[in-house]
Amino acid sequence: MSGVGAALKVAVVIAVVLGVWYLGAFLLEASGDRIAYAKLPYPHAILEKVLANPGTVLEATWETASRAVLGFFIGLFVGGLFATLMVQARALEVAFLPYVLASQMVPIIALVPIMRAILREPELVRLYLASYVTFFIITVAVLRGLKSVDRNALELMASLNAGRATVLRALRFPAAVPYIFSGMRIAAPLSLIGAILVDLVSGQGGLGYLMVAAVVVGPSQATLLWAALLIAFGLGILFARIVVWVERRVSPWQFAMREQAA
Amino acid sequence: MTRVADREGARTRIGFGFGSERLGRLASPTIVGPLVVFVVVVGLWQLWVFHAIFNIKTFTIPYPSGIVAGIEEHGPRLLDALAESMPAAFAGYGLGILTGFSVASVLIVVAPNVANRLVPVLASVNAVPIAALAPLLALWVDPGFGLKVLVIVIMTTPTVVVYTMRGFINVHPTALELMASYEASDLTTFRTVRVPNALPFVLTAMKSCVVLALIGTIVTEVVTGFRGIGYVIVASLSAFQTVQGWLALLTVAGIGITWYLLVDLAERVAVPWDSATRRGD
Repeated sequence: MSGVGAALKVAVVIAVVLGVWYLGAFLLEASGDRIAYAKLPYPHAILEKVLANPGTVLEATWETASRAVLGFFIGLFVGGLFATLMVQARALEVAFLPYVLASQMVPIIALVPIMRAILREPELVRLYLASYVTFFIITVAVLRGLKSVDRNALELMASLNAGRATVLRALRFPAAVPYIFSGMRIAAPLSLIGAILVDLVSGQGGLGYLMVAAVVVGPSQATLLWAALLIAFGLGILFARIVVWVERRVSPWQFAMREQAA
Repeated sequence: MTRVADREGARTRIGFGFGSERLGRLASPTIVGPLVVFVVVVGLWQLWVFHAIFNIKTFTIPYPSGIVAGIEEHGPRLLDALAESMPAAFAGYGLGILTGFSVASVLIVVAPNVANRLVPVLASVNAVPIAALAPLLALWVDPGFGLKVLVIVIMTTPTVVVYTMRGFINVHPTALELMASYEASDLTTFRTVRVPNALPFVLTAMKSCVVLALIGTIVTEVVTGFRGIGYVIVASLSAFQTVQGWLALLTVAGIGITWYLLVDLAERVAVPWDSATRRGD
Protein backbone atom coordinates (compact mmCIF):
# COMPACT_ATOMS: atom_id res chain seq x y z
CA MET A 1 0.00 0.00 0.00
CA SER A 2 2.63 2.45 1.07
CA GLY A 3 4.61 1.53 -2.04
CA VAL A 4 1.72 2.63 -4.23
CA GLY A 5 1.31 5.80 -2.19
CA ALA A 6 4.99 6.65 -2.52
CA ALA A 7 4.93 6.00 -6.26
CA LEU A 8 1.90 8.29 -6.58
CA LYS A 9 3.70 11.01 -4.63
CA VAL A 10 6.74 10.76 -6.88
CA ALA A 11 4.49 10.91 -9.94
CA VAL A 12 2.79 14.05 -8.62
CA VAL A 13 6.15 15.71 -7.93
CA ILE A 14 7.39 14.86 -11.43
CA ALA A 15 4.18 16.19 -12.97
CA VAL A 16 4.47 19.46 -11.04
CA VAL A 17 8.13 19.88 -12.01
CA LEU A 18 7.35 19.22 -15.66
CA GLY A 19 4.42 21.66 -15.53
CA VAL A 20 6.53 24.45 -14.08
CA TRP A 21 9.28 23.64 -16.56
CA TYR A 22 6.96 23.88 -19.57
CA LEU A 23 5.51 27.12 -18.27
CA GLY A 24 8.97 28.58 -17.73
CA ALA A 25 10.18 27.50 -21.14
CA PHE A 26 7.06 28.93 -22.76
CA LEU A 27 7.37 32.26 -20.97
CA LEU A 28 11.06 32.50 -21.85
CA GLU A 29 10.33 31.79 -25.51
CA ALA A 30 7.47 34.27 -25.50
CA SER A 31 9.75 36.92 -24.03
CA GLY A 32 11.68 36.83 -27.29
CA ASP A 33 14.97 35.54 -25.95
CA ARG A 34 17.05 34.48 -28.93
CA ILE A 35 18.68 31.52 -27.20
CA ALA A 36 15.65 30.49 -25.16
CA TYR A 37 15.96 27.01 -26.69
CA ALA A 38 19.35 26.75 -24.98
CA LYS A 39 18.67 28.51 -21.70
CA LEU A 40 15.61 26.47 -20.88
CA PRO A 41 14.58 24.04 -23.61
CA TYR A 42 11.26 22.24 -23.56
CA PRO A 43 11.57 18.79 -21.98
CA HIS A 44 10.42 17.14 -25.20
CA ALA A 45 13.18 18.93 -27.12
CA ILE A 46 15.75 17.32 -24.83
CA LEU A 47 14.13 13.94 -25.28
CA GLU A 48 14.14 14.41 -29.06
CA LYS A 49 17.83 15.27 -28.97
CA VAL A 50 18.60 12.15 -26.97
CA LEU A 51 16.54 9.97 -29.29
CA ALA A 52 18.22 11.54 -32.30
CA ASN A 53 21.69 10.67 -30.95
CA PRO A 54 21.09 7.54 -28.91
CA GLY A 55 24.59 6.20 -29.54
CA THR A 56 26.42 9.31 -28.34
CA VAL A 57 24.39 9.70 -25.19
CA LEU A 58 24.40 6.02 -24.27
CA GLU A 59 28.11 5.72 -24.84
CA ALA A 60 28.86 8.78 -22.73
CA THR A 61 26.59 7.57 -19.95
CA TRP A 62 28.17 4.14 -19.99
CA GLU A 63 31.70 5.57 -20.00
CA THR A 64 31.04 7.79 -17.00
CA ALA A 65 28.87 5.40 -14.99
CA SER A 66 31.08 2.34 -15.45
CA ARG A 67 34.21 4.24 -14.39
CA ALA A 68 32.36 5.71 -11.44
CA VAL A 69 31.14 2.30 -10.26
CA LEU A 70 34.50 0.62 -10.72
CA GLY A 71 36.30 3.51 -9.02
CA PHE A 72 33.78 3.39 -6.20
CA PHE A 73 34.54 -0.26 -5.50
CA ILE A 74 38.29 0.25 -5.69
CA GLY A 75 38.01 3.17 -3.26
CA LEU A 76 35.74 1.13 -1.00
CA PHE A 77 38.18 -1.76 -0.89
CA VAL A 78 41.34 0.29 -0.42
CA GLY A 79 39.68 2.64 2.07
CA GLY A 80 38.31 -0.26 4.13
CA LEU A 81 41.68 -1.97 4.13
CA PHE A 82 43.49 1.21 5.11
CA ALA A 83 41.09 1.95 7.97
CA THR A 84 41.45 -1.64 9.24
CA LEU A 85 45.23 -1.27 9.24
CA MET A 86 44.99 2.08 11.04
CA VAL A 87 42.93 0.49 13.81
CA GLN A 88 45.59 -2.21 14.20
CA ALA A 89 48.50 0.19 14.47
CA ARG A 90 47.89 3.51 16.15
CA ALA A 91 51.14 4.94 14.79
CA LEU A 92 49.73 4.55 11.29
CA GLU A 93 46.54 6.37 12.21
CA VAL A 94 48.39 9.21 13.91
CA ALA A 95 50.78 9.66 10.99
CA PHE A 96 48.31 9.45 8.10
CA LEU A 97 44.91 10.59 9.34
CA PRO A 98 45.74 14.32 9.19
CA TYR A 99 46.58 13.87 5.49
CA VAL A 100 43.41 11.94 4.84
CA LEU A 101 41.43 14.79 6.39
CA ALA A 102 43.45 17.54 4.71
CA SER A 103 43.14 16.01 1.26
CA GLN A 104 39.38 16.32 1.50
CA MET A 105 39.96 20.06 1.60
CA VAL A 106 41.80 20.02 -1.72
CA PRO A 107 39.47 20.67 -4.64
CA ILE A 108 39.65 17.42 -6.59
CA ILE A 109 39.16 19.09 -9.95
CA ALA A 110 42.61 20.66 -9.61
CA LEU A 111 44.13 17.19 -9.38
CA VAL A 112 42.91 16.18 -12.83
CA PRO A 113 45.79 17.68 -14.85
CA ILE A 114 48.37 16.21 -12.46
CA MET A 115 46.93 12.74 -12.57
CA ARG A 116 46.79 13.05 -16.32
CA ALA A 117 50.52 13.74 -16.30
CA ILE A 118 51.21 10.68 -14.17
CA LEU A 119 48.74 8.17 -15.56
CA ARG A 120 48.45 9.48 -19.13
CA GLU A 121 45.49 7.22 -19.99
CA PRO A 122 42.25 9.23 -19.63
CA GLU A 123 40.47 6.03 -18.64
CA LEU A 124 42.82 5.56 -15.71
CA VAL A 125 42.49 9.19 -14.65
CA ARG A 126 38.72 8.84 -14.47
CA LEU A 127 39.04 5.61 -12.52
CA TYR A 128 41.59 7.16 -10.21
CA LEU A 129 39.53 10.21 -9.39
CA ALA A 130 36.34 8.25 -8.82
CA SER A 131 38.17 5.95 -6.40
CA TYR A 132 40.11 8.83 -4.80
CA VAL A 133 36.92 10.57 -3.73
CA THR A 134 35.47 7.33 -2.40
CA PHE A 135 38.66 6.35 -0.64
CA PHE A 136 38.80 9.28 1.77
CA ILE A 137 35.18 9.22 2.75
CA ILE A 138 35.21 5.46 3.27
CA THR A 139 38.47 5.53 5.23
CA VAL A 140 37.15 8.10 7.68
CA ALA A 141 33.77 6.38 7.98
CA VAL A 142 35.18 2.87 8.46
CA LEU A 143 37.77 4.10 10.95
CA ARG A 144 35.10 5.80 13.00
CA GLY A 145 32.97 2.65 12.79
CA LEU A 146 35.75 0.29 13.82
CA LYS A 147 36.52 2.52 16.79
CA SER A 148 32.90 2.86 17.83
CA VAL A 149 32.94 -0.45 19.71
CA ASP A 150 32.00 -0.56 23.34
CA ARG A 151 35.01 -0.32 25.65
CA ASN A 152 33.60 -3.02 27.92
CA ALA A 153 33.27 -5.38 24.97
CA LEU A 154 36.91 -4.80 24.11
CA GLU A 155 37.93 -5.54 27.68
CA LEU A 156 35.83 -8.70 27.62
CA MET A 157 37.62 -9.77 24.44
CA ALA A 158 40.96 -9.08 26.10
CA SER A 159 39.98 -11.13 29.15
CA LEU A 160 39.00 -13.99 26.81
CA ASN A 161 42.46 -13.71 25.27
CA ALA A 162 40.92 -13.15 21.83
CA GLY A 163 43.35 -12.49 18.98
CA ARG A 164 43.29 -9.41 16.74
CA ALA A 165 41.50 -11.29 13.97
CA THR A 166 38.75 -12.42 16.32
CA VAL A 167 38.26 -8.93 17.71
CA LEU A 168 37.96 -7.58 14.18
CA ARG A 169 35.54 -10.24 13.00
CA ALA A 170 33.34 -10.55 16.07
CA LEU A 171 33.38 -6.98 17.35
CA ARG A 172 34.78 -4.27 15.13
CA PHE A 173 33.38 -5.17 11.71
CA PRO A 174 29.78 -5.61 12.92
CA ALA A 175 30.05 -2.29 14.77
CA ALA A 176 31.32 -0.58 11.62
CA VAL A 177 28.50 -1.71 9.32
CA PRO A 178 26.20 1.31 9.78
CA TYR A 179 29.17 3.69 9.45
CA ILE A 180 30.32 1.99 6.25
CA PHE A 181 26.88 2.37 4.74
CA SER A 182 26.51 6.03 5.62
CA GLY A 183 29.95 6.59 4.12
CA MET A 184 28.94 4.70 0.99
CA ARG A 185 25.77 6.75 0.66
CA ILE A 186 27.83 9.92 0.51
CA ALA A 187 30.62 8.43 -1.59
CA ALA A 188 28.54 6.75 -4.31
CA PRO A 189 27.27 9.94 -5.96
CA LEU A 190 30.61 11.63 -5.36
CA SER A 191 32.40 8.93 -7.35
CA LEU A 192 30.14 9.93 -10.21
CA ILE A 193 31.07 13.58 -9.74
CA GLY A 194 34.73 12.59 -9.76
CA ALA A 195 34.34 10.82 -13.09
CA ILE A 196 32.43 13.76 -14.58
CA LEU A 197 34.91 16.38 -13.40
CA VAL A 198 37.72 14.57 -15.23
CA ASP A 199 35.81 14.90 -18.49
CA LEU A 200 34.96 18.52 -17.76
CA VAL A 201 38.67 19.32 -17.62
CA SER A 202 40.24 17.00 -20.13
CA GLY A 203 37.33 16.48 -22.51
CA GLN A 204 37.92 12.96 -23.77
CA GLY A 205 34.42 11.56 -23.60
CA GLY A 206 31.69 10.76 -21.15
CA LEU A 207 28.96 12.96 -19.72
CA GLY A 208 31.37 15.69 -18.65
CA TYR A 209 32.57 16.01 -22.21
CA LEU A 210 29.01 16.37 -23.50
CA MET A 211 28.52 19.19 -21.01
CA VAL A 212 31.64 21.12 -21.86
CA ALA A 213 31.17 20.54 -25.60
CA ALA A 214 27.89 22.40 -25.38
CA VAL A 215 29.71 25.44 -24.05
CA VAL A 216 32.56 25.21 -26.53
CA VAL A 217 30.39 24.59 -29.58
CA GLY A 218 27.84 27.15 -28.49
CA PRO A 219 24.17 27.26 -27.58
CA SER A 220 23.21 25.01 -30.48
CA GLN A 221 24.41 22.00 -28.50
CA ALA A 222 22.77 23.11 -25.26
CA THR A 223 20.00 20.54 -25.39
CA LEU A 224 22.71 17.89 -25.23
CA LEU A 225 24.11 19.66 -22.16
CA TRP A 226 20.70 19.52 -20.54
CA ALA A 227 20.39 15.85 -21.38
CA ALA A 228 23.82 15.08 -19.90
CA LEU A 229 22.94 17.05 -16.79
CA LEU A 230 19.63 15.27 -16.28
CA ILE A 231 21.27 11.88 -16.78
CA ALA A 232 23.94 12.81 -14.23
CA PHE A 233 21.23 13.89 -11.76
CA GLY A 234 19.38 10.63 -12.30
CA LEU A 235 22.49 8.49 -11.94
CA GLY A 236 23.51 10.29 -8.74
CA ILE A 237 20.14 9.65 -7.12
CA LEU A 238 20.12 6.08 -8.45
CA PHE A 239 23.54 5.37 -6.94
CA ALA A 240 22.48 6.67 -3.53
CA ARG A 241 19.25 4.64 -3.69
CA ILE A 242 21.10 1.44 -4.57
CA VAL A 243 23.27 1.86 -1.47
CA VAL A 244 20.15 2.35 0.67
CA TRP A 245 18.58 -0.73 -0.90
CA VAL A 246 21.65 -2.86 -0.22
CA GLU A 247 21.83 -1.56 3.33
CA ARG A 248 18.23 -2.60 3.92
CA ARG A 249 19.10 -6.12 2.74
CA VAL A 250 22.36 -6.44 4.62
CA SER A 251 21.46 -4.89 7.96
CA PRO A 252 17.71 -4.39 8.22
CA TRP A 253 17.90 -3.88 12.00
CA GLN A 254 20.29 -0.93 11.73
CA PHE A 255 18.23 0.57 8.99
CA ALA A 256 15.01 0.39 11.01
CA MET A 257 16.74 2.02 13.96
CA ARG A 258 18.03 4.90 11.88
CA GLU A 259 14.69 5.46 10.19
CA GLN A 260 13.13 5.76 13.63
CA ALA A 261 15.77 8.16 14.82
CA ALA A 262 15.36 10.35 11.76
CA MET B 1 41.79 0.11 25.57
CA THR B 2 43.15 1.33 28.88
CA ARG B 3 46.12 -0.94 28.43
CA VAL B 4 46.94 0.69 25.13
CA ALA B 5 46.59 4.16 26.60
CA ASP B 6 48.92 3.27 29.44
CA ARG B 7 51.52 2.00 27.05
CA GLU B 8 51.36 5.16 24.95
CA GLY B 9 51.71 7.27 28.05
CA ALA B 10 54.68 5.28 29.29
CA ARG B 11 56.45 5.60 25.96
CA THR B 12 56.00 9.36 25.91
CA ARG B 13 57.24 9.62 29.49
CA ILE B 14 60.31 7.55 28.81
CA GLY B 15 61.17 9.46 25.65
CA PHE B 16 60.65 12.97 26.87
CA GLY B 17 60.57 12.55 30.61
CA PHE B 18 63.40 14.98 31.14
CA GLY B 19 61.78 17.93 29.41
CA SER B 20 59.01 20.23 30.46
CA GLU B 21 55.37 19.31 29.94
CA ARG B 22 55.27 21.60 26.95
CA LEU B 23 58.17 19.92 25.19
CA GLY B 24 56.51 16.55 25.78
CA ARG B 25 53.34 17.84 24.16
CA LEU B 26 55.13 19.27 21.17
CA ALA B 27 57.02 16.06 20.60
CA SER B 28 53.88 13.94 21.02
CA PRO B 29 53.24 11.37 18.27
CA THR B 30 50.33 13.41 16.82
CA ILE B 31 52.85 15.96 15.60
CA VAL B 32 55.92 13.82 14.98
CA GLY B 33 54.03 11.15 13.00
CA PRO B 34 52.63 13.39 10.25
CA LEU B 35 55.94 15.28 10.13
CA VAL B 36 57.83 12.05 9.46
CA VAL B 37 55.41 11.17 6.65
CA PHE B 38 55.87 14.62 5.14
CA VAL B 39 59.66 14.46 5.24
CA VAL B 40 59.75 10.94 3.78
CA VAL B 41 57.35 11.73 0.94
CA VAL B 42 58.99 15.02 -0.04
CA GLY B 43 62.42 13.40 0.33
CA LEU B 44 61.58 10.48 -1.98
CA TRP B 45 60.04 12.93 -4.44
CA GLN B 46 63.16 15.11 -4.42
CA LEU B 47 65.40 12.05 -4.79
CA TRP B 48 63.80 10.95 -8.08
CA VAL B 49 62.17 7.88 -6.56
CA PHE B 50 58.61 8.63 -7.72
CA HIS B 51 59.83 9.82 -11.10
CA ALA B 52 61.71 6.57 -11.56
CA ILE B 53 58.82 4.33 -10.48
CA PHE B 54 56.15 5.99 -12.62
CA ASN B 55 58.54 6.96 -15.40
CA ILE B 56 57.62 10.64 -15.07
CA LYS B 57 59.53 13.41 -16.79
CA THR B 58 60.39 16.58 -14.91
CA PHE B 59 58.42 18.65 -17.40
CA THR B 60 55.23 16.95 -16.23
CA ILE B 61 55.98 16.90 -12.52
CA PRO B 62 58.76 19.12 -11.12
CA TYR B 63 60.84 18.50 -8.01
CA PRO B 64 59.96 20.12 -4.67
CA SER B 65 63.13 22.24 -4.90
CA GLY B 66 62.07 23.45 -8.34
CA ILE B 67 58.63 24.39 -7.04
CA VAL B 68 60.08 26.38 -4.16
CA ALA B 69 62.53 28.09 -6.54
CA GLY B 70 59.63 29.11 -8.78
CA ILE B 71 57.86 31.15 -6.11
CA GLU B 72 59.70 34.32 -7.06
CA GLU B 73 59.09 33.98 -10.80
CA HIS B 74 55.45 32.93 -10.73
CA GLY B 75 54.34 34.60 -7.50
CA PRO B 76 52.96 37.80 -9.07
CA ARG B 77 50.85 35.98 -11.64
CA LEU B 78 49.43 33.70 -8.96
CA LEU B 79 48.57 36.67 -6.76
CA ASP B 80 46.75 38.26 -9.69
CA ALA B 81 44.82 35.07 -10.27
CA LEU B 82 43.96 34.78 -6.59
CA ALA B 83 42.76 38.38 -6.54
CA GLU B 84 40.42 37.37 -9.35
CA SER B 85 39.15 34.15 -7.75
CA MET B 86 39.10 34.47 -4.00
CA PRO B 87 36.69 37.42 -3.64
CA ALA B 88 34.14 35.40 -5.60
CA ALA B 89 34.80 32.30 -3.51
CA PHE B 90 34.38 34.21 -0.23
CA ALA B 91 31.33 36.12 -1.47
CA GLY B 92 29.66 32.94 -2.72
CA TYR B 93 30.47 31.15 0.51
CA GLY B 94 29.07 33.90 2.69
CA LEU B 95 26.00 34.40 0.55
CA GLY B 96 25.35 30.65 0.35
CA ILE B 97 25.46 30.26 4.13
CA LEU B 98 23.28 33.31 4.61
CA THR B 99 20.77 32.04 2.05
CA GLY B 100 20.74 28.55 3.54
CA PHE B 101 20.24 29.85 7.06
CA SER B 102 17.50 32.27 5.98
CA VAL B 103 15.61 29.62 4.00
CA ALA B 104 15.76 27.22 6.94
CA SER B 105 14.66 29.95 9.39
CA VAL B 106 11.69 31.06 7.30
CA LEU B 107 10.61 27.46 6.75
CA ILE B 108 10.80 26.46 10.41
CA VAL B 109 8.84 29.53 11.57
CA VAL B 110 6.27 29.69 8.78
CA ALA B 111 5.72 26.01 7.96
CA PRO B 112 7.37 23.62 10.43
CA ASN B 113 5.60 20.59 8.97
CA VAL B 114 6.77 21.28 5.44
CA ALA B 115 10.26 21.96 6.78
CA ASN B 116 10.37 18.57 8.43
CA ARG B 117 9.53 16.80 5.21
CA LEU B 118 11.82 18.93 3.09
CA VAL B 119 15.00 17.79 4.81
CA PRO B 120 15.27 14.36 3.13
CA VAL B 121 14.42 15.91 -0.25
CA LEU B 122 17.15 18.52 0.10
CA ALA B 123 19.58 15.94 1.42
CA SER B 124 19.14 14.03 -1.85
CA VAL B 125 20.39 17.12 -3.68
CA ASN B 126 23.80 16.13 -2.32
CA ALA B 127 23.59 13.12 -4.61
CA VAL B 128 23.55 15.42 -7.60
CA PRO B 129 26.70 16.73 -9.28
CA ILE B 130 25.81 20.40 -8.82
CA ALA B 131 29.23 21.47 -10.04
CA ALA B 132 28.10 20.28 -13.47
CA LEU B 133 25.59 23.13 -13.48
CA ALA B 134 28.38 25.62 -14.14
CA PRO B 135 28.34 25.26 -17.95
CA LEU B 136 24.57 25.54 -17.98
CA LEU B 137 24.47 28.63 -15.80
CA ALA B 138 27.06 30.18 -18.10
CA LEU B 139 24.26 30.45 -20.67
CA TRP B 140 22.21 32.53 -18.25
CA VAL B 141 24.81 34.70 -16.56
CA ASP B 142 27.87 36.26 -18.14
CA PRO B 143 31.05 34.53 -17.00
CA GLY B 144 32.86 36.34 -14.25
CA PHE B 145 32.36 37.26 -10.63
CA GLY B 146 28.58 36.93 -10.64
CA LEU B 147 28.56 33.49 -12.25
CA LYS B 148 31.07 32.13 -9.77
CA VAL B 149 29.09 33.48 -6.84
CA LEU B 150 25.89 31.99 -8.27
CA VAL B 151 27.43 28.55 -8.75
CA ILE B 152 28.81 28.54 -5.20
CA VAL B 153 25.51 29.71 -3.73
CA ILE B 154 23.66 26.92 -5.55
CA MET B 155 26.25 24.39 -4.39
CA THR B 156 26.32 25.41 -0.73
CA THR B 157 22.74 26.42 0.06
CA PRO B 158 21.18 22.91 0.23
CA THR B 159 23.90 21.68 2.60
CA VAL B 160 23.38 24.64 4.91
CA VAL B 161 19.59 24.25 4.85
CA VAL B 162 19.82 20.55 5.71
CA TYR B 163 22.21 21.03 8.63
CA THR B 164 20.48 24.14 9.99
CA MET B 165 17.11 22.45 9.81
CA ARG B 166 18.47 19.48 11.69
CA GLY B 167 19.64 21.88 14.40
CA PHE B 168 16.24 23.63 14.51
CA ILE B 169 14.36 20.33 14.78
CA ASN B 170 16.62 18.43 17.19
CA VAL B 171 15.78 20.62 20.18
CA HIS B 172 15.10 19.10 23.53
CA PRO B 173 11.33 18.50 23.86
CA THR B 174 11.32 19.76 27.44
CA ALA B 175 12.74 23.09 26.25
CA LEU B 176 9.82 23.40 23.85
CA GLU B 177 7.37 22.45 26.60
CA LEU B 178 8.90 25.06 28.88
CA MET B 179 8.52 27.71 26.20
CA ALA B 180 4.94 26.60 25.67
CA SER B 181 4.25 26.94 29.41
CA TYR B 182 5.53 30.54 29.19
CA GLU B 183 3.13 31.04 26.29
CA ALA B 184 6.12 32.19 24.31
CA SER B 185 5.46 33.02 20.67
CA ASP B 186 6.91 30.90 17.89
CA LEU B 187 9.31 33.69 17.13
CA THR B 188 10.59 33.88 20.72
CA THR B 189 11.01 30.10 20.81
CA PHE B 190 12.89 30.33 17.56
CA ARG B 191 15.20 33.02 18.82
CA THR B 192 15.91 31.69 22.29
CA VAL B 193 15.76 27.90 21.77
CA ARG B 194 16.13 26.91 18.14
CA VAL B 195 18.84 29.31 16.95
CA PRO B 196 21.31 28.56 19.78
CA ASN B 197 20.63 24.86 19.29
CA ALA B 198 21.31 25.10 15.56
CA LEU B 199 24.58 26.98 15.94
CA PRO B 200 26.85 23.89 16.08
CA PHE B 201 25.02 22.43 13.08
CA VAL B 202 25.49 25.62 11.08
CA LEU B 203 29.19 25.57 11.87
CA THR B 204 29.47 21.96 10.72
CA ALA B 205 27.78 22.97 7.46
CA MET B 206 30.20 25.86 7.15
CA LYS B 207 33.07 23.41 7.37
CA SER B 208 31.75 21.20 4.58
CA CYS B 209 31.02 24.24 2.44
CA VAL B 210 34.64 25.44 2.36
CA VAL B 211 35.69 22.86 -0.19
CA LEU B 212 32.44 23.33 -2.13
CA ALA B 213 33.21 27.03 -2.52
CA LEU B 214 36.68 26.26 -3.87
CA ILE B 215 35.41 23.57 -6.24
CA GLY B 216 32.66 25.89 -7.45
CA THR B 217 35.18 28.64 -8.19
CA ILE B 218 37.60 26.36 -10.00
CA VAL B 219 35.00 24.48 -12.03
CA THR B 220 33.44 27.72 -13.19
CA GLU B 221 36.79 29.15 -14.19
CA VAL B 222 37.85 25.98 -15.99
CA VAL B 223 34.63 25.70 -17.94
CA THR B 224 33.97 29.32 -18.83
CA GLY B 225 36.74 31.69 -17.96
CA PHE B 226 40.19 32.62 -19.06
CA ARG B 227 41.25 34.10 -15.74
CA GLY B 228 41.53 33.11 -12.13
CA ILE B 229 43.37 30.46 -10.21
CA GLY B 230 41.37 27.53 -11.61
CA TYR B 231 42.25 28.53 -15.14
CA VAL B 232 45.92 28.98 -14.19
CA ILE B 233 46.08 25.47 -12.73
CA VAL B 234 44.57 23.73 -15.73
CA ALA B 235 46.13 25.89 -18.41
CA SER B 236 49.66 25.83 -17.05
CA LEU B 237 49.63 22.10 -16.37
CA SER B 238 48.29 21.43 -19.86
CA ALA B 239 50.95 23.68 -21.37
CA PHE B 240 53.73 21.97 -19.38
CA GLN B 241 54.35 25.09 -17.28
CA THR B 242 54.33 22.67 -14.42
CA VAL B 243 56.11 24.70 -11.78
CA GLN B 244 53.49 27.41 -12.06
CA GLY B 245 50.70 24.83 -12.08
CA TRP B 246 51.97 23.07 -9.00
CA LEU B 247 52.47 26.33 -7.16
CA ALA B 248 48.89 27.30 -7.98
CA LEU B 249 47.61 23.91 -6.88
CA LEU B 250 49.52 23.98 -3.60
CA THR B 251 48.32 27.53 -2.97
CA VAL B 252 44.69 26.48 -3.44
CA ALA B 253 45.20 23.46 -1.20
CA GLY B 254 46.81 25.67 1.42
CA ILE B 255 43.97 28.19 1.23
CA GLY B 256 41.42 25.39 1.56
CA ILE B 257 43.08 23.90 4.62
CA THR B 258 43.67 27.29 6.29
CA TRP B 259 40.09 28.34 5.60
CA TYR B 260 38.80 25.10 7.08
CA LEU B 261 40.99 25.46 10.16
CA LEU B 262 39.74 29.03 10.66
CA VAL B 263 36.13 27.83 10.63
CA ASP B 264 37.14 25.03 12.98
CA LEU B 265 38.70 27.61 15.29
CA ALA B 266 35.55 29.72 15.10
CA GLU B 267 33.59 26.63 16.06
CA ARG B 268 35.73 26.02 19.11
CA VAL B 269 35.31 29.63 20.20
CA ALA B 270 31.59 29.90 19.43
CA VAL B 271 30.39 26.52 20.68
CA PRO B 272 33.11 25.24 23.01
CA TRP B 273 30.72 22.82 24.74
CA ASP B 274 29.83 21.03 21.53
CA SER B 275 33.26 20.78 19.94
CA ALA B 276 34.66 19.57 23.27
CA THR B 277 32.25 16.67 23.40
CA ARG B 278 32.82 15.83 19.77
CA ARG B 279 36.58 15.87 20.03
CA GLY B 280 36.24 12.76 22.19
CA ASP B 281 35.27 10.48 19.29
